[in-house]
Amino acid sequence: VLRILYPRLWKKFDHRLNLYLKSKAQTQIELQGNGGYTDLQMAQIVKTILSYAGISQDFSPLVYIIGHGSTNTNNPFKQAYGCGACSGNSGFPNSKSFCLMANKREVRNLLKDQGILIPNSTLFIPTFHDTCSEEITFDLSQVSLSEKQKTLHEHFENTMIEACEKNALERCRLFQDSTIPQNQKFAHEHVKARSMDLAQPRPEYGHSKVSLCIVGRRDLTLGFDLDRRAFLVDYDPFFDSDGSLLEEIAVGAVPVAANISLDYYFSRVDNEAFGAGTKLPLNITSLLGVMRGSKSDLQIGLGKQMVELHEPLRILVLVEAKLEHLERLLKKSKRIHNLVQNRWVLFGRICPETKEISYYNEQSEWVKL
Amino acid sequence: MGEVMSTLDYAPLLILGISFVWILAQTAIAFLGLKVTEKFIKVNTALYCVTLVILNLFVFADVVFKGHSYLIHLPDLLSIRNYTLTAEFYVDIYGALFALLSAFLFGIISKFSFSYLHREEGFFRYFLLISLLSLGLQFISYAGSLDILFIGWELVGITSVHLIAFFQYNIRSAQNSLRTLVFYRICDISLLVACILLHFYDHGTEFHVIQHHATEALTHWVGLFIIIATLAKSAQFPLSNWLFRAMEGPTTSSAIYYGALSVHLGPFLLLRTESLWSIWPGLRITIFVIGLTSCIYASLVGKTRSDVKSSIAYTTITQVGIIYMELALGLNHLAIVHILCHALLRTWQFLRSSSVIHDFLESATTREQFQLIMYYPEYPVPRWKKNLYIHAMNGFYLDQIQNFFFVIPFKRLSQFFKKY
Repeated sequence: VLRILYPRLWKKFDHRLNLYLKSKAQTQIELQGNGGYTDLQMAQIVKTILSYAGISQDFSPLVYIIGHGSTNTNNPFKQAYGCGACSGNSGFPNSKSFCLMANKREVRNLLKDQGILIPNSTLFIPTFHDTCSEEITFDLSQVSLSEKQKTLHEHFENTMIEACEKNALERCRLFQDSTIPQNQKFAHEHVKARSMDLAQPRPEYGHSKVSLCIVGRRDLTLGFDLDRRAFLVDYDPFFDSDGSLLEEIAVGAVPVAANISLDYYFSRVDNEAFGAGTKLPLNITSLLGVMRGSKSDLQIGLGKQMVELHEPLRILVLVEAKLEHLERLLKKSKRIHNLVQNRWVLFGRICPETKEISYYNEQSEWVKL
Repeated sequence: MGEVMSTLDYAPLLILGISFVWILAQTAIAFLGLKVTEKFIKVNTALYCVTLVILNLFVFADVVFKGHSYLIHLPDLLSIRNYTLTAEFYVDIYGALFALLSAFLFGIISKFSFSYLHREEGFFRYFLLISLLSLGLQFISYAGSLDILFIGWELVGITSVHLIAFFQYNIRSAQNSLRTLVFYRICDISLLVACILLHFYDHGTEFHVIQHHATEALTHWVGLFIIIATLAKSAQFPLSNWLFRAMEGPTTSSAIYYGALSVHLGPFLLLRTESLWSIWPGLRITIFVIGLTSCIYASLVGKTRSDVKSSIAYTTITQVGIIYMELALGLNHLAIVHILCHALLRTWQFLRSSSVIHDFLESATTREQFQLIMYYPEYPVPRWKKNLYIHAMNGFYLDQIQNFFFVIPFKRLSQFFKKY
């Protein structure tokens, strides 16, 4: 009863109860266990990810690897609220294992040989951002911080909490059943309650309204309000001389963006056929899918409550890259070629030097806007 | 049993009055086509729920304090020759408890629905229907005669059918609600026949009158009709195959009707008319056998269902079957406690039914069992078990039997009449 009438109170109560009853089992990730990674493989993984992120020198004392996930209850759409690319699994274990790798002395030595020098004073900290309840979790169990790092960490933690609160406030604008909270603290409380509420078919709007994917340097969009509608992928064309980095980033990010946006697109265009209809009569079957009411086909898309704000647009992918690199990418990668050529995504290019935008039209020509 | 002693005892009437006025106001709004905001409905419904719970709590405390049941007489509603339709209300501990339970669950479900049905088409319609349900349940709980009880009985039936067809554009929900309506109707006729028989022999249908005439041979038949009347609402065998089809409406309405309140009306009616059947061993045995059959049938079929709501529906039938058996054995107190606990548990299960995947992933034991099955598909299963599984999966052909013996002959008959 408490849980239905006062979800927020319930959460506090539940939390206390858990602290009291359960001693939380500490789990550790065993990287080198049975059939695990060798040091060399780990070094390779760390190197690739660092190069995606464009970090190879000037390491700051603390590097946060932030995974994301979504906590919500009574919603059978985990894969849509959580990570769209990995069927709704949380990114926390990944970030934990990556940090273990990157903090390992042997791996760092190997990286040094490959030209990436991570100073001893640098620590990687696994972090988790819950996109629904706007909570941020740091895992400090595997690292020991120095005094200087501790103050830095505290500062960062406060900044992140403030950012989460602001984000919560921004998200609250879209919820029609909440009186728009003026105070960001209140907004934060509100989204937390949403994530715990059994009766809430809209814990978050997820990627609803997404319409843009920008691959490029982050100062392209600095100070520009994108209204929560864009995927931002970091890529520095000047850092990438032969275009191989672009290939890896684009092959990773563009299909994911396209899949997510098409998922929302079709669920919105015909919610009954491609989506799941309204969430209210949904009935979980066989522990794997939902059907509507007592008997129906398995529902394939997203519920009406998740896409009702979405405008069905094909996503516009803008890549800031050199022309020849892009041309080669389109030729070489079958997946991206199909997406672009068959107009599942709209494609454009931002010139790195002049910031001019050109559009890739149906006749495979670049048209300057 | 005692008569009314003070004005305070009229509280049940106040409850019914408030509910009635509330419904009238809502219906008026609906007919005038006024646009009402969600907030307006929320505030009003919340007020109404709180009032209902407080008043029922008061009545319950009153009855417990007094230690005996009492009657409230109102002027007769209708009087034609030797037939009188009396307006009489009977307040006892069972009725007050059931009314309190229904008011409480109605409050919970309303609170849940505020955010659950947010932005849904038919938000207003939904709240109108479940308020009607609450009125019907209060009527049933405090009714002093079968005639009055019948009003509530019908309200519950009608709203139930409407809520199954809540998503009107969906053809299947319309079909299933029609099926439910047919089942309800058959049993309503039976209840009506029981009322008519009682009136015909000039006793009236008031519960306290019934008690005095219980020994007459006629009540044998009346008791049988009442037992039949309870079958559809409680989805007992052989009328149990509509219940899982009724899961077409919003989860919340499934919870309040088929998990909590509507399915327990059968046992409640039996409890009310106990004097009619309790003296006939034959009828007791009938109730026991019905309960036992439903229990076995539903637990077997329920185990083969793959979806949550159907399996909850079948487990509900199983438990209600057990309640029938308790009633047949004369364990009335146990039965009412069973109803209370069962209603609360099922509501909770229905409301949480969307979380089963989360629960499954979090619970280590179920996962281990699951893996065991995955790893040992060749685990030897005796032949009879396999056969039983297949028969249970087909619901023991109850649909086909009903179709063959009732639906097809009925259609033929109507075809036959169509010619003339």
